[in-house]
Amino acid sequence: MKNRAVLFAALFSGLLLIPSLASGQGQTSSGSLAVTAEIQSSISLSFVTDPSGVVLTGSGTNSATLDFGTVSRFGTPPLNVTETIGVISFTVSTPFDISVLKSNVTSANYALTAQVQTADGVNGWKIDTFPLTIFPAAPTSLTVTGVYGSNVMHTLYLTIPFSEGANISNTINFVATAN
Amino acid sequence: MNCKVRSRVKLITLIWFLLGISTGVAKGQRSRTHTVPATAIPLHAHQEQEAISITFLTVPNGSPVHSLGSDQGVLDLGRLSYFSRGDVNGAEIQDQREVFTVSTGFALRLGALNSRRAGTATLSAFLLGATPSQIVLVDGVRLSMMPLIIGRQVPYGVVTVHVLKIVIPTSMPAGQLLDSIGVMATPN
Repeated sequence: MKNRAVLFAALFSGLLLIPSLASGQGQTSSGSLAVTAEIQSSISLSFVTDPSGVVLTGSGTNSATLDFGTVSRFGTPPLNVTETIGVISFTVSTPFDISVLKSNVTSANYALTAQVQTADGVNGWKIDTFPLTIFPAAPTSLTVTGVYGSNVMHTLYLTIPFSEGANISNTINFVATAN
Repeated sequence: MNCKVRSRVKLITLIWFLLGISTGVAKGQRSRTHTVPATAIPLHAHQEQEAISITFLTVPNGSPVHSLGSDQGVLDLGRLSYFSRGDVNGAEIQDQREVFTVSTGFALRLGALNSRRAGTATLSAFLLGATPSQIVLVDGVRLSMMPLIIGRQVPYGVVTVHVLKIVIPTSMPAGQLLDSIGVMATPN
């Protein structure tokens, strides 16, 4: 009789559990989130100190300063500055690197131009073998087949007449354009 | 002997009676199979049968989410590029060598605001379409077309904030990006 009571109690509890188990099987809901964006193609240019050149302030960015230091016709040039003496002037030069990166663009290479920004009727500015124009004249083309993703070395030449006696300062604007 | 048989019959009858009640109650809690007219169901019972709505929301400083009614939303990351810096349209961009990562926050709510519904749900997310060139993550979980759990004890009626990250390769052509993320809530 006692066993039967236990059996009955167990059955009864089990039956009471059925609805609660059934109600635990909840309904799954779903939603969707559409994510949209417009991916734009882009390239970036940065100046990098060349191992053989003077240290650039702002190396790795797109706004750097190259300081030749104190140079003179008769003195020893600063580290990594090459000096050549001419008949009426002397020229100082140093290499620097330009790195152009691309993203989300199907361009094989890039064109690079440079232009001196402030009028300078005394000194001569040249990069590699190309004399630089002065704004507002058309920029000087340095290459039309620039290679992306590598530090490409260029050399800045500054020709100073023996008659020049002041500090020299100017800005050169570089523009890389994806081909 | 007759008394014993009668007693067993009574017991069996009682068991069947209880089984009938149990099944009836259980069926009554399933929305698909109930046949009772809606007017006859008490309000609290009706609420339990409702499907859980999922509402997508904008978070402060996040990219805008446009709700397209219940269970659907559009998250607009705006214009993005590898060389963008800082926040653009509520999305933060971090660049690595070959990829850049766009991250933003969005919020969602299960059920109505301040829902009285008790309990929690497990939240899963998945991609509704293949994105071979991108990696999509929600709360650090890399999504695939199989649902993966992004939250285990998400309460109803409460706004929860989530982080979406999309890793975009620099080699991907420029143009429109459209990813669809499915979100699934399963009551615990």
